[in-house]
Amino acid sequence: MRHASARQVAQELQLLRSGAMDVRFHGNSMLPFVRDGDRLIVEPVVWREIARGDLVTYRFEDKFPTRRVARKGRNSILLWCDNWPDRRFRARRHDVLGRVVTRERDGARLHASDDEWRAATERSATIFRRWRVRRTLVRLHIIARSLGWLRRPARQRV
Amino acid sequence: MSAWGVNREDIAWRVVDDEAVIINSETSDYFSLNLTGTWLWTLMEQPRTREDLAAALTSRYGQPLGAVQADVTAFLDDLTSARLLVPSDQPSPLATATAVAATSPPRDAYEPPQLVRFGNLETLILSGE
Repeated sequence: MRHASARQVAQELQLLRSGAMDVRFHGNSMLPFVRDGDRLIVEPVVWREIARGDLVTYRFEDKFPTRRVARKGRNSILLWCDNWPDRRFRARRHDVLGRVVTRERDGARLHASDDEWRAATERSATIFRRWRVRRTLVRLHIIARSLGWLRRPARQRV
Repeated sequence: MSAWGVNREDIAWRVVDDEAVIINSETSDYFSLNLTGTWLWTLMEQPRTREDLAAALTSRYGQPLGAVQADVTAFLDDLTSARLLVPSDQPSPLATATAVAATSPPRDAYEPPQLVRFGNLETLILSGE
């Protein structure tokens, strides 16, 4: 087996042993809930148990992006980042590797069953809903203008 | 008669294209096995004696028992020194191993079972970018 292939498989196994091995998040995309350097514990998850608001890790080339589930389809999920509400990502069913169940920061652990975790999930969902409403209104506005239903405000002569 | 089984507490493995990739979460080392080694590894999901494994290999590949025993001994030494196996007092019966060999004819020619150590896994980074 080629070294690169073995390494990729080994890293996926490492991810699923994250309770015993060092697995950390890098970047600012999930602020404020997940910070750069937070240790995360990821557990295997079956497809039917993945729900909107879950943090999931998936396989993308040789990386392991970790993002929040915005919508779940039959064979893929739409994901977004708490700190990048205008960007979307898609992961295929067979690329989803696990669900984040614990965040460790400065020695303190927060579990998915904790109230603080659930509150953060709810806040994130609220931001996502607002973003969708705003996006829908913008689209409707563009359509209405293109159909001539909205008049441009008349220019005032000075 | 001593037996060895997979060290389930510290390791995880996956078989990809008939070759096993194994990690040891205690040492962070990662390894692969060749085809023959992978086949033996799957047998060791239940504790086996060296004699069990040699008999199973002979049955599967038709190799002389003497030659196979030396290969199995070297293979078990490698696995135990990498802490991938743990000793067990309850070996599975020989009949089970030979039965497994008889029901899965080899797709590959015999080559001595081999453990390859690739290196050490560093901190895994979950990308947020």
